[in-house]
Amino acid sequence: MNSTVKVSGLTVRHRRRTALDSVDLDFGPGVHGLLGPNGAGKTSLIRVLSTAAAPDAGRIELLGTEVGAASDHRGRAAVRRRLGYLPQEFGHYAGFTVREFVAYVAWLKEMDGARTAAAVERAVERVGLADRIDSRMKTLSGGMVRRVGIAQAIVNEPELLLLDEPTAGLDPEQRVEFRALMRDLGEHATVILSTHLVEDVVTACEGVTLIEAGRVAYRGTTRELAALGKDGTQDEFGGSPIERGYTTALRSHRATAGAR
Amino acid sequence: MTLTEAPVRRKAPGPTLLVLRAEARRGIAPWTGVCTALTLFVTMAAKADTWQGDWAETQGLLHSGAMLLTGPLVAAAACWQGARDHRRGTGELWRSTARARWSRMLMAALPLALWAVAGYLVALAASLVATWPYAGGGGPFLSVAVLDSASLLAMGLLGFGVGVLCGWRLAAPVLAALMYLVLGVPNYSESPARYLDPAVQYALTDRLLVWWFAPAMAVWACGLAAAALTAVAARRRLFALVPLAVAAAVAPLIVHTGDGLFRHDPAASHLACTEGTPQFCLSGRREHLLPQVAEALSGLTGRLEGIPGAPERYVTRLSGHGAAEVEMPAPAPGWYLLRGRLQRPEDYAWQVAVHLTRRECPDLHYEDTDGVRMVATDSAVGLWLAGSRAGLAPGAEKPLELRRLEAMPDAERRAWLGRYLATHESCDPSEVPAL
Repeated sequence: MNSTVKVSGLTVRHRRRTALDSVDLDFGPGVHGLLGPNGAGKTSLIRVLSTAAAPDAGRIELLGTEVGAASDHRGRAAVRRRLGYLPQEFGHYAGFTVREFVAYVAWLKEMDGARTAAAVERAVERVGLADRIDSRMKTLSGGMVRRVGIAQAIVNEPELLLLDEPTAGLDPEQRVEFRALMRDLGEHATVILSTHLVEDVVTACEGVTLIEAGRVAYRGTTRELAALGKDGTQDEFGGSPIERGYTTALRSHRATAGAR
Repeated sequence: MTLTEAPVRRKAPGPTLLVLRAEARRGIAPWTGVCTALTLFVTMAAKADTWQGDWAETQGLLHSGAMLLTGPLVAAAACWQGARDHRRGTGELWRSTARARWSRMLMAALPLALWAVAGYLVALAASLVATWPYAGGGGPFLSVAVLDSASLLAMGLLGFGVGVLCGWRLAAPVLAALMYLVLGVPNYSESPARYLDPAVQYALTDRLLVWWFAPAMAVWACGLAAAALTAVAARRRLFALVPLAVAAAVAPLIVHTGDGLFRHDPAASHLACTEGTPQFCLSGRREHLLPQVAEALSGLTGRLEGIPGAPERYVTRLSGHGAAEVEMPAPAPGWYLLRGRLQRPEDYAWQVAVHLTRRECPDLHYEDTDGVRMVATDSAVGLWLAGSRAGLAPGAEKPLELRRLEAMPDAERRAWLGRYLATHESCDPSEVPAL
């Protein structure tokens, strides 16, 4: 696989708690789902990959450039231009219009000025907000604000797109459209999508990575994860095959980790 | 072969202008400009009687309001703007973008600071237009306008830096209060270091600032602000030492020069006088008031006409011509002058009469019988010369000495006044003729 994201020995600590414990991972083009229980370390991983936070240890290579070293400012800036990021808590300037806010992010991403205006309109159109492009952010609903968050993340047509809980607040129809958009983006870019919603992973992602207590608990395709839930666990857990596969993989990892 | 000129490819405008426009139009930046202008409008309107018609008073009050009222206001607004990312939770996203942090901060701070300057300039323009129809000599002080604008810009940048550092919601009002103290307290100092305070009062009634003071203050204030903002925003914080060094290089120049920062205004130093005798002389800046002053004092000079020893010149600044010269108050807005018109001419004439009859006698015992008589005589002469009740308390009876002076036949009174004026510089009560 042609990896655009390579992580080795990645460790992130929040005070005394270890959020990621010497994680090794790699991702190539396509849409990848990050699953895991609350506090497993998904957001910590996304934050470090977005370069918004620095790891305590480990090596991170994004789009062929190592970004972990604090002194490598130019390399990190070059990667950031090719990166899109939607944080879990998406902050925005309420007084700006949608167009102004997305253009502002485009400016922060140092996009080519000649194509910014068109790129902003295209990004906003892709998230279905073309009719609200000149509305102030403060007049939008929570779901719409989340879609602006996705628009700002994709405005530079990133080669690496990191989305943390992107479907939170979206209604079912918007979620369907969002998944289609992810599949479309995944044809050319590496999309890493952290979510609690296994339906998002089933319908939008090819690969899935399950994180538990700061470690990688499972890696495979969504089909493989669903297959884990097909064998005799239906009565015990209920739910869809992917949910049962998720639970099986998680428990299997806990059992293995406990035995070690 | 034909030479063809290659078409000039114009680079498409970057999104910088779009972002700058958004920052300038949204949030509190435009409101800062509006509030700056409104605060200054209200301040100036409330005290219009004390400045309208005089360039120095106009810009003096505006300078005071701009620095002590809107300065802290702008700093507080900028602080609020600087803390925007704390409140809005955008820092996480911004940290993942390529644009340098200082660039983003400058883009957020500069429009607000420029709005504040624009608000000040609007208020300045309105004040100057309001003064212009009633003003005499001289003109607006560009140096004060430059100094005020640069200082407001600096306060905006400084406040923004504080906001970036401190996300506390009460940081803005606390900063405003601190700024008020920091800017206001040096006004009470006599140290030449007070000139480093942009809010210090310059009293430009009869003097001008040296040409380099405004640029030097702009470098000083903006240098400090740039150093603070660089220390907060730049990746290499040591770069802050560059503007700090520039500011530090200018400060000793200002402090060392001290009161030498002012030079005489030739227009104010020059005395403009009327023709004939007696002469009325005002500062060149107030030359246009000479007819009104002559009219207000016509009664007084008429009563002294032909009397030996009567003053030959009435001046606002004594030039050492001895007894022939009498000092008169300089009409100024809030002090006999209202929108170019001399107010209360009777009172003005009485003030001149008081100057005319005043003696410089530091060793005289005014409680002695002779001393009391001399003071009563001087007072009676002053009241009679003023020709009105301006010098009397409301409802008070005319003093006996005044009644005696009024009752004298004209020829006798003229003879008596001649004797009285001959003793004008005497401190011996026995020499002053009795009434």
